[in-house]
Parts: sequence; C-alpha cells; structure tokens
Amino acid sequence: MRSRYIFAWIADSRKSVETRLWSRASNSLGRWIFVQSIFYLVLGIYPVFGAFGLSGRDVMLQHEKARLFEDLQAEARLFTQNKDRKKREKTFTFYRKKAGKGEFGIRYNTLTRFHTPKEVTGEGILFLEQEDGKNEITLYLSKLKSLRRVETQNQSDSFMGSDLSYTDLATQKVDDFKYESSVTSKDCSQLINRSSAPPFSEAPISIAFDDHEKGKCYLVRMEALRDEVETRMNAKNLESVVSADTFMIYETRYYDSTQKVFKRVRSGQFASLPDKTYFPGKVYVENLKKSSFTLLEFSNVKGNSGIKASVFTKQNLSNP
Amino acid sequence: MRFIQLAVFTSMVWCAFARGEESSWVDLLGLSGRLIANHATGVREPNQHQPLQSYAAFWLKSQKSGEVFSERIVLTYESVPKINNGNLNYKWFDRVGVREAVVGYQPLAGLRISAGKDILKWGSSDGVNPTQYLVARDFTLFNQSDEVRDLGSENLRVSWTPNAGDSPWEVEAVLQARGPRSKLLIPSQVVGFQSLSVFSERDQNQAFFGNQTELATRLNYYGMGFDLRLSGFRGRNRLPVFFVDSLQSVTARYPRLWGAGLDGSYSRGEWVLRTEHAFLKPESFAGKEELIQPAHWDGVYGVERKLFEDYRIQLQGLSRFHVRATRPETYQNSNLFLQTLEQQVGRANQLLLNYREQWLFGGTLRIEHKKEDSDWEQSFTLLGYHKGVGYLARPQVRYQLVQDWRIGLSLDAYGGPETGSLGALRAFSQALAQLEGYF
Repeated sequence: MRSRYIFAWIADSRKSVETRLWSRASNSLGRWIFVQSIFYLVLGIYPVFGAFGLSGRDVMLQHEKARLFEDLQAEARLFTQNKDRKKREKTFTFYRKKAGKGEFGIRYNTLTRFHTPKEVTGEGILFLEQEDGKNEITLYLSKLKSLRRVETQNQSDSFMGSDLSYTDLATQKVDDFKYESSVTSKDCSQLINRSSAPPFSEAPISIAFDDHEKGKCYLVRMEALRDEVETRMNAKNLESVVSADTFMIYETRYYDSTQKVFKRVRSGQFASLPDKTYFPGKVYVENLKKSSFTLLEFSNVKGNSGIKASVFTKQNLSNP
Repeated sequence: MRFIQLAVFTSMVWCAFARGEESSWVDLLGLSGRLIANHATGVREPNQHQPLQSYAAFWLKSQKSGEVFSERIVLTYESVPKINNGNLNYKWFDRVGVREAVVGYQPLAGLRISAGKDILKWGSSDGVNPTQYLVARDFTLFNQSDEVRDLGSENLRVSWTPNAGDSPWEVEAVLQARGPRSKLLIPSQVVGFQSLSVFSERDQNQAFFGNQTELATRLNYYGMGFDLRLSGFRGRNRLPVFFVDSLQSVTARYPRLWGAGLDGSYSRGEWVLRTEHAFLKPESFAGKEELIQPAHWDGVYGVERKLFEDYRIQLQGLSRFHVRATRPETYQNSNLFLQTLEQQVGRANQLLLNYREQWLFGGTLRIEHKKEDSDWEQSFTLLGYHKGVGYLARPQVRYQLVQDWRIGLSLDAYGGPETGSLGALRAFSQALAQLEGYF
C-alpha cells in the first residue's frame, strides 16, 4: 500500500516537473533551460525514478489495458495429451465481448461453441463475468437440448477434458490479487523457466514461442485476496511473466500449498488487434502433477467486429 | 441372425465413415451423422436369456446457422421391432423417417421464429419432467439414451427476448399441429384383457390441426445464479388412456390435457438445486371418473453436486398428488359384463399411468463417475416409489473405443410387487449392449 503512495507521488512529481519545464520553453532562454533540463532529466532523474520500477499491480493494470478490446471472435483448436500419451482434439468458435467494469476489474462475457468432436457438436459454454467478481458458467448440452449450470465451487474443473480450467477461459481480474510493491524487468528468456521444456516432438503443431526469446519482461507475483478466488483458480499463489513491451502475459505459474509449481500456462504469437490490444495466438498448458499438456491455438482472430450483446445470452446459447 | 445382420451393418457403416487424415464425404457435404446399434437380452423370467430386442439406427444431420436464417434436418433410417398386441411377438421392419426438419428465421434481434418438425424439450429436472408437455417418448425402444426415444412433432415456435435479445426475459409460444404420442410396451398378462389395441387404426391416422392442435407458452427469466420459468399448456396427454368401446374392443385414446407449470434451477457454492412442478388436468369423461386419471400435481425437487474428484451425485424427490382418489371397483353399469370390463380397464389405467395412490412419493438417485482423461465412464441410476409401485435400477458402463465411438453395457432391473407400475415391467428387465458412433 505504501509503495502505491510512493509511486503516485513520483508520478505526480514527474508530471509537475515536465509541466514547468514545458512552460519555460516559450522563450529562448527557457528553451535552453528546457534542453538542459531534459538532458539532466534523462541522464539523472529518470534513472533514479526507474530504480523504483512499477508495482505488480501497475503491470497487471497495463496488461488489462493491453487486452481491452471491445469484442473478439476466433476459431480455436484444443489439443490435449494425457500421461498415457493419448491425444484428443476439439475445435470451437470463441466469442468474447466487454461487458463493463466490475468491482474487481474489467468484465467480459465469453461464449464457446463446439464443432468437433462430432459427439459434442453444437454444445456451448457461456461465461458471464459478474460485477461482484464471480463467474456464472452455463453449459448447453446438445444431446439433451438443455442448459446446465456449473457450480461456483467447480469452476476450477477441467475445461472440456483439457488442462485449462473454466476459470482460465474467463479473464483474470486485477483486484482479485495482492501484488509485490515493486517489480523490475529482465530478459524474458531468463524469466521463463525452461527446465520443463514442452515435448515439441509430440505436439500436433509447433508450440515454440518465438516472441518469448526477445525483449524485457516483468515477473509479477500474485496472491489470491479471497478464498473464492483461490477456489476458482485452484491456487493461492501465482506468478506471471509479463512482456514489458506489450504487457501481455507470456507465462503464468500456479503454486500448490507446498509452493511447488503444479501448472504452467504459456501464451504467445499474439495477434495485434485495434487500439494496441493483443490476443494470444497460442496457449500452452502443462499440468506437472498429471504429466499432461494442452495446446490451444486461435486462428482467424477478428477484433472489434461489432458482436451483438445478444450472442452472450442463455437464449442464444440454447439455439446453436 | 438379426444380431449378425446388425453387426455387419454396423461394421459397413463404420468402415464407410471412419475418418483418417482426410475428411469423409459426409464432412465434405457439411453433414454429420450418428449410428446407434443395440441389443437387449432378458434377465428375468419369463424372458430370462431370451433376446428381447435388437435395434439399429442411422441418423444423417444437416445444420446451418446464420444471423437471419437457420436450418436443421435429421433424417433417420431405422431397423425397428413392431410390437403386436403388447407382447414380445414383434416383427422387424425398416423405416425411413424425418426426426427433425426445422427452419428458423430471425427478422429482428431478439425475435426467433422456427417452423417444422422439432423436439422441444422443456423442464429443469433430470429424467422426470412434469413440464415436458411437447415431447413424447417411444418406450418400446430399449436404449440407454432417452434422446433416442424422444418423439417430436410439427410445430411453429415464436420466442421473443426484449432489448434486441439482450435481456434476462424471454417469452415463448408454441403451436403444435398435432401432439406426438408416447408408445408403451405393455405385458398383456398384467393388463389382463386380450383385445387391447395399443395402436388403433384411429391413432395411426392422427390428423393435423383441428382438435389435435396444441398450444404451449412459457415465460423464462435467466437471472444470475438462478433461472425460473412459468409455463402453460393446452393439448393432449402423451400417454394413452384405455377406454372400452364395446365388449369386444378396447382402444387407446389420448385425452385433452390442460397444464400449468413452474420450474427453475439455482446454484450456490457446490450445489445446484432444481425444481419442477406442473398441475395437470386431463379431460373429464362424464360418468367414467373412476376409470380415468384425475387432475394432479407432479413435483420434483432435486439437488446435485460434485463428490470427491471425479464423482457427481444427484438426488431428486418426486411427489404426485391427485385431487381425488380413484376406485375402479366402484364403477357401476347396468350391463354386468361391461361393468367388469370397465373396472378391469380402469385398473389397467391406474397401473400404466401410476395413480393408484392419491398421494405418491418417490425419488431418484444418480451417481456418475468419470475421470476427465479417461475413456471410461460409469453411472448408477435408481428410480423408486413408495406404496408398492416398485423400482428401476440401472448400472451402466461406457467406454470410448476411439474418438466419437463408444460402446456401452447396462442393466435395467425392474423390481417390486408385480401389481406395481414398475414392478409389472419385471419381464422387461434386460442387459443391454450398445454401440454408438458419430461421424
């Protein structure tokens, strides 16, 4: 909390210094002073400010902004492989639309409509993120032609037999977590743990993330603020590697009660959307406890295409 | 012999549609399909170790959805048993049918109109749905899935959601040209009269519109964490009621039915609660009140939750209250023979429609086990009532052979007194093997 005040004070000081300098630039002497000031600012003051860095919350707020699209539609392929090396593939259309701002951050509504395997064609899952930070998840079962609720406590369950949970498909809320007061940037390649390299040879498509090799990243450690969030995420402590360039999350590690990583989610090949927003082209999930992996690949990503709000209703869910 | 034919048929279709790296012609045409083949063997006397029924069906489906227009067609080719006089002496015949053929039109955001043959399933509870006014069921088919037994009908459905489709409210109205009719397997030794005709000529030639037209309306509210529906129905009973036409003939009729219902579900924490109620008033046949089912209220109260890591448990309480008790033995007629036959038919109606008791309680229990990354799934279902109605126990196991293809084994064990509605079906207790594939 204290660090947030310090950061706010630094930001205010920086702003007032810049404003004063700019006003002095109206005459030649002023211009000289301005140039000198900028010189000292760049050489001296900025590095001092930079040493304070950003807080974890600031980074995640930037991340929230970087994925703040109005709506999105994409085709998705979900590959899973369990510890017996049995592979499965599912395809679905993914729709997401901003629903507003809630108590804990920006809310989205998400609909997934399955195409394959044929057994589940037409089935759908509707995620409605609520203002109080909870999610309402409803399934449409095409064989039974009926809607079924997913209980709040079971939202950490597997999403269609994959290593992703229903919660992973919803958006993460900034104010669901407590963060470190300060984070510093390092080379992304240093922060992404390569000790458990993905089994590239066994994946049905390439799961190399070229963008992870370049640039600087922040390591943001998070702690769930409420029991409900912990239940939903199936973890109290998480850490994310966030790109300092795009503020997209490259990797999130989930810790169990013994502080061992049990799940790792990597995202990459981000599609650039309008208004400097991004969406991952690939998401790779390793479940280290189950020795299984999941790969989610998005294609034909369309942002801000004007998807109607009525798409994200239970009425529409039951009309495949 | 029949089973061998089925096996060959199944293998051929499997080979024809088995997908390798390339798509099958079904995929290329934008179609999909389903194959179902099963065989039931009796496990209780008098049918112990006897083949009860083999069934095969091939469904071909076309479905396209656009912003304004949509279509869904499901054609079926079935090899089915034809039941004669409620006995197991059935003949085989093949039939081609239209299971569903619906076109949808959305002229305005929030307004949906669909027309055609459709299966419109209503109700929140599982398996027992008092508000499922519009769908009938073919109980003469032995199958592990109720979906296969569902029968729809030709109807026009209009639904409207305010605020251009973005509202928790929805109003629905369905006009059904003729109601579908459930088919029952009835052991003749239990019913006791030999002239019983379950599928009379009159029933086979059921006309469209006129007095067959049905109307159902529903008001839905989809809230956060809960949903609620109010419904109304004016149409016909899905199950047949037997009437004495003459001393030589007893026919099945489907009386008019008026219904009002309420159903909904609510989730909190680890629990999902469901409830469904309907007050149903069948047509009153003056002078025969003791022989037909009176107005009644059916209620279901259910809870469901996850148990341990991979189990789900569901419990439902069932209540059936009739506004008055019926006693067929009090029926009077000047013709003693006719009186005896009428009383006998009245008792058969009580048995088949399960209203011997004025207030009946029952319950269902369902336990499912499925590991997310496993090819196996198991379930156990129990349905039972108090006061001598009997029970049905169904353990089931399914295994995924390859993606989209499953085999299943199940046991349907009916028990309880032979004079009870479920106990009377003990002759149909069966072991059932099933192959099901999607392509």
